[in-house]
Amino acid sequence: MAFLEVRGVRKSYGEGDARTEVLKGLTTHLDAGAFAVLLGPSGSGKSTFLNLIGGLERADGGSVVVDGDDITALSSREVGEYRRRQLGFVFQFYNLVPDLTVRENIEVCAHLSKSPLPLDDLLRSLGLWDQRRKFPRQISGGQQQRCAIGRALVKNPRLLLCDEPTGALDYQTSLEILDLMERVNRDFGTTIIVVTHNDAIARMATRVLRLHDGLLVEDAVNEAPQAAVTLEW
Amino acid sequence: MASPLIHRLPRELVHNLGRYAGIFLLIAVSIGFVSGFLVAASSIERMIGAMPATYHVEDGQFTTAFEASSEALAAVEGLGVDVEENFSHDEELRWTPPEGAGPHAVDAGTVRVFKNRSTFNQAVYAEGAAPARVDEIALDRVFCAHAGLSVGDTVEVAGTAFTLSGICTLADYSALFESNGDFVFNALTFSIAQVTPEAFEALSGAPTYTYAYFDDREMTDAEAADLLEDIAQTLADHDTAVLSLTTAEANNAISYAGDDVQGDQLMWKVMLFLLMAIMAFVFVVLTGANIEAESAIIGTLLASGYRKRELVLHYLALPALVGVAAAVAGNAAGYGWLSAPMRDLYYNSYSLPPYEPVFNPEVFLLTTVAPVVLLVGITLVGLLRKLRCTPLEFLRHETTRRSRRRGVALPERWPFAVRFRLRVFLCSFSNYVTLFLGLAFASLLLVFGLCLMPVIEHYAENLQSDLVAEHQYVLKAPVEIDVDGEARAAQAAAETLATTDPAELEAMDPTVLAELMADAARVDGDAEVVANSELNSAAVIDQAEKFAATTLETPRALGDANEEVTVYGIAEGSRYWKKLDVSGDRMVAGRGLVEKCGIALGEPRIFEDILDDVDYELVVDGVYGSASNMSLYMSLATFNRLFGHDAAYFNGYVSDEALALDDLYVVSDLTPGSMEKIVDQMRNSMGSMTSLLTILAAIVYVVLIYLLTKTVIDRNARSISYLKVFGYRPGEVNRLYLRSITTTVVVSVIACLPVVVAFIALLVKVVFMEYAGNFEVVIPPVQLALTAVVGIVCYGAVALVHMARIRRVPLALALKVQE
Repeated sequence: MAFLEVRGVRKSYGEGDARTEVLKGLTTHLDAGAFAVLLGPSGSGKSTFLNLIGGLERADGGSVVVDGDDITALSSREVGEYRRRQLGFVFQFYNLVPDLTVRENIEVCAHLSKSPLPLDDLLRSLGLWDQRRKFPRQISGGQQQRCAIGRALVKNPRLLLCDEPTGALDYQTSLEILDLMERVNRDFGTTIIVVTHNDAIARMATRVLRLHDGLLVEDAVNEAPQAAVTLEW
Repeated sequence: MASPLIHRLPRELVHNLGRYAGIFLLIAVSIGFVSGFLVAASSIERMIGAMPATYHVEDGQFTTAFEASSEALAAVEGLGVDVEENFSHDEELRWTPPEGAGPHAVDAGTVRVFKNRSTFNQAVYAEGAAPARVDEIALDRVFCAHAGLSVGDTVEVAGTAFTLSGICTLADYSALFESNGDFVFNALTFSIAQVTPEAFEALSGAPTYTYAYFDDREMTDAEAADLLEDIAQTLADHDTAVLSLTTAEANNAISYAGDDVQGDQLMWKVMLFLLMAIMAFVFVVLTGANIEAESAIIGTLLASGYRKRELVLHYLALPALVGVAAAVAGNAAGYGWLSAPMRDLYYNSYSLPPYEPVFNPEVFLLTTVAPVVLLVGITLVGLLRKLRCTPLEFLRHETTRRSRRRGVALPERWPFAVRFRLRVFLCSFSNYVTLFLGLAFASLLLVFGLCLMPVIEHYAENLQSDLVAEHQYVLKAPVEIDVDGEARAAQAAAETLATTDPAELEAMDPTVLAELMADAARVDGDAEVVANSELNSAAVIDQAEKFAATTLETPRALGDANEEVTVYGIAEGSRYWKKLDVSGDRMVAGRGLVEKCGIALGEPRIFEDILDDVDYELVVDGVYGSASNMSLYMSLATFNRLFGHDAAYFNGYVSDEALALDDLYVVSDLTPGSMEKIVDQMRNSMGSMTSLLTILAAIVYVVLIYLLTKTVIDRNARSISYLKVFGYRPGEVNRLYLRSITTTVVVSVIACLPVVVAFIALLVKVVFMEYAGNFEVVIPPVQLALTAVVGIVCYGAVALVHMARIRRVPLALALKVQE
């Protein structure tokens, strides 16, 4: 059985004439350890799809089964527990706690796990060891995003959901972040779904999903993923 | 493992020091002042309540014209009471004012001298000791404080020098009323004193024969009044002329201080209620602002798997810690150094035993537990309400209805600046509503503090305006002034016989005594009206007018207490009560009485005689006098018929000329001068209290405006930074943002005043409901202007400081951290 199974998921916003159907019966699946990239233009439903998998929104129809649990059937409290146990989130704008240091920001999620990753090792592997005592405002955007990834990873989640993780970063810093995610996927076996509108990133994925107007228009397996550091755009 | 979020707490505290300092100050100052006062007042109240048992204070007293016989006293004791001699001499007291007291310093007065007491109405010594030698004296503590006397000083009593051996308080003179009929106490020229029995005997002349009685039985007011009547009757049965008699409850020297302390607490409790409402409002605003500011972080933490409970605890921790710290600090200040000035409010007026602060659970609950529970509770409710949003809503900053609402379309033909400003205004509309409400609350507090004294002064002015004559005499019995010389002489003879010691009468020249007895025999003992023994001119007699007065009670419109009503029977077409029509059986009520007790004209109303336990159903037909007039008027004929008196009955005179009246029958003489004394006493006893309330209100007002202004400016700080990034000049930024905030503040400060005034009117009604009399709200325009100016200046200062701070933040940094 696949690690993630999405069957006929629908989602719409608004009512009456203003009603917009964002996802129109989307079906797909992912195996554990996959590195999936979800592509599509703005408004295609990428973030909504990610939010449904993350339990941040509820589907109007269909089901989302993660590791055997249908999260569309869970109560709010159970969805919370699911996020606590299984998920890591990375956002475009980092959302770090401004008055916690880099180390403390990562500790915030280490606290949620019974078996968190060793913090010092993680800081070193993220290249944040020298910045660990600094506050978010004292480091660069790339370092802030690495910190956000560290925060998501530290609880050793089975699924890492990244919403435009390089959207606010320059080319070089984006490559560093993607390289980091590639290592995480490889070293920890974490299943990763990255939402992006940057087609180039698809070349490093093992799976490429493309959405257009709420429909899955491409669902391809990439047999020869490219190393992140070699990507160009 | 403790949540790593705990590291945020000290940093958040430092980062938002202004906000938390404001909350701390708000709670600590409120608790400090209110608990300081309530602790002092409740300790004093408890002490006064314990005084009868601790110092064996009398349950009542009677004064006889000459020493009562042992048979008469035994008969009184037969009524179930113990009787003790409590004789005194009223003597002239002279002293030397302290150096630097000025040429107008008072140096003479009256002293009421008692023998050293040890078993009842005991003395408590603040300094020194009870007189042990014949030339030693102890005087009252408050009097000594005003007169500048210390132990060791010399004073003269009836021309004899005494050394001040002690400064004391007598348990039956906590308020220095020279006479129970006085309207105010007098600690400036009147004192009580204790001397040795030898020194007491050495004072010349007959003492005042006062007897204190003690009764262990629990009694209602009506039973105590019945006992008093029985005592009077028993003494009369034993041919003992009684000059005065009163229960301890009705004795101002004993009961006035306790009543005063009790009444003042209500004012402070209302203040506390206002403060609590303001605190609740501030907490709601700050919690909302905090959650909105941290929306993305909360969303991220929730998305990462944090439970709502964990976040609630986190966001609750700091307000709770600050609240508890402020409560501790406020209480420390209240119990420590603020209870002393609060205590002095009373100790400067009343002679009370040494002060001992007593822990009062109710005060602790009101001033400490309640504000902290309020802070934690409101923050908790705010958090729980806000945390109903989904993680996604937090991430999208959609935590308020405003943020979820679609923007209003504005016509594009409007200039950009207008649309922008309007957009800013609409986006910040809820902030401005908050600001308006907050300013209204703050103004309410300040105006309340500022208007207390004017309200009292206006009440005093009303009292004076209700005085219809230069003299209003209240008599113990009808005393006819329009009598011939023979009747006058007969009455004088009868009084001399009744009030002279039998031993002295025996020693009198038999011829003189026979003449006295012959004159006295002409007095009709059964006549209801007594002839005045003093002479008045025909002109004076002509302009004087008789009236009758008694006291009834009727329920107040609010609460379950009764209001005391003076019922007057006056002459129809009275020359003094002008334009007051009491013809026929018409009854007219004072405007204050109608307002305070909610009397409906033309409808029956119950008036109660508490002492005789009789109810009267009366119909009020009209309204008269000022808003402080608490009287009920009817014609003298109606009065006498209603209360079962003879048609000729009266017990008072109104007169623009001073009347020569037999002192024996005069209860009181109310003059504009005595009214001025009441007014001065009210100003004196409430002045310092209202000053303290005003200081507290002003502090809270400034803190509140600081917190609200800062919150609103904080909310716009990021947008202001953005505009600067786009190249807007500071002046342009100010025009777009700060001007709308400034306009809102100015408009709010002014626009909320009518609402505030209306609410204060209601509040004052509630506050003063417990006090006798009706207080009308008067808020001088200058006080309102002052409130508005203080608010605007305070806002200006906060805005300047805060804008300077925002300007100092490097733009790159302002944009870098997105949270």
